[in-house]
Amino acid sequence: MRTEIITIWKKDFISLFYSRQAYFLIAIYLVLSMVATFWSGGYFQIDNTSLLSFFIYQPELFIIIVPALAMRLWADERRYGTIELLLTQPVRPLSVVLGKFLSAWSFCLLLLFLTCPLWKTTSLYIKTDNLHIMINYIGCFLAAGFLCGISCCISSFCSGPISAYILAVFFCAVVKQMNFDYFLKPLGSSGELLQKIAQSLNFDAHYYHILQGQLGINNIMFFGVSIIVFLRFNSIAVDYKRG
Amino acid sequence: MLVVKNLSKSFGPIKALENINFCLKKGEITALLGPNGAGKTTLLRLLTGVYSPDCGEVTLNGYNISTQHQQALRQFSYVPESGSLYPELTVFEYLQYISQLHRQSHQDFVDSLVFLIKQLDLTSVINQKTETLSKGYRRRVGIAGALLSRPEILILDEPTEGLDPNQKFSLRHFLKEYSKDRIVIISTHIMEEVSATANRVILLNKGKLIRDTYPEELKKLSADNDLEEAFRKITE
Repeated sequence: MRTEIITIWKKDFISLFYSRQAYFLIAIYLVLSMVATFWSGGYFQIDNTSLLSFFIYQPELFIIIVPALAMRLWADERRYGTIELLLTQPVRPLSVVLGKFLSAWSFCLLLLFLTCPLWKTTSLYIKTDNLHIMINYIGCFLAAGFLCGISCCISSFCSGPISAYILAVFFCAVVKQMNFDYFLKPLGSSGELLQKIAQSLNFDAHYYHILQGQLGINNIMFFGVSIIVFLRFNSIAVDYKRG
Repeated sequence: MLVVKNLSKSFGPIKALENINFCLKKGEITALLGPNGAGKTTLLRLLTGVYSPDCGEVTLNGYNISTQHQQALRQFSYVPESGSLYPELTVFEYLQYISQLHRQSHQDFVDSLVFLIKQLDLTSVINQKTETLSKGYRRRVGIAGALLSRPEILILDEPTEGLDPNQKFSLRHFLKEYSKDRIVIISTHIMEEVSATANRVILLNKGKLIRDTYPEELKKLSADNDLEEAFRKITE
């Protein structure tokens, strides 16, 4: 199974660079990242020992970038008619799902890696908390995986890349912003348990927890379990589309 | 051996295939024949597990395609009608990718590659991106991909579409040789293809199997011993 996953991951990852889409996404991501860091994030105004101005807007940026990466993974297979070819190869559907997911997720890792010069440059001027920054990068990577999971799942349901992109952006934004406080607050103390459950399912709550330097097993579990759930849905979607 | 039992498939209210039964043995090239919309491609997709049947079963060398999917997938190779390839890959990269999915060893891949490049005349395009290939070459690359693992069962949807007469001749010759100890299924509506290649014909019409016979027997149904006329007579 490992060989199958690596084969599919490698092919899909390299294909991104063949189509020049990768270079375009890298450029867009880096420009938007810097705009968000220096302009919206107030890089020069806030205490940047943990590069907070950079990490604070990363989920929003990934909501734009990740669906663009994932939209082609399944939708393109349908567009080019290669899905039939892929589904009749002796590989487990889960290997295909994982390989495709990992190709998108590893591209996010590359994107994050390309922002490391900002960390290096900042550390030349102020004393940075390198452990905290490392934790923030891990949090960011987990958040990217979460959004990759949703986007891959949406892509597997769609037959065209554009519809896959629009739907994935929409769902990523909805899931990220999902906050049940408005509905649960009026319940008062009787809704405490529900509030706790809702809080544990809140993307922002977990991500901002990590940005405070608390990687925490609950935060890792939230992202990890969410990714597994989305991949399971992805597998179901592939089977469902099989007819 | 490929066994199809009571196979049916519907898409909503449309019955695409109804109660199909047949059994194919090694050494046969079977032509799946039928007018457009007869259910040929649906049947191939059911044989290859792309679709799940509503009822009935398909077993390939004893492995049920629905319940023993992985083992069944190892028994055959399939070249879809669309002849779709990954546009961003070169012919070599495409074949290497397929070989890796089949977990072939490097040596096996090289041996198969050398043989198939020669057999299907792919030398001049081996480093060319598949998106730049002509239809005939795309088809041949698809067939090369299917033959890499030397499957026991080879399933081809419209195999000679887009090929020139020389290529058609050499592919037919190759398929005849290949089918000596294997099962080859070709889906087609070209009668010339059936006469030149097949030694068994399964005729579908409106989702039903209406004839399972030999090309010679089918010809006898027409006054002039003409396959095309016989086909028209049965399917009209």
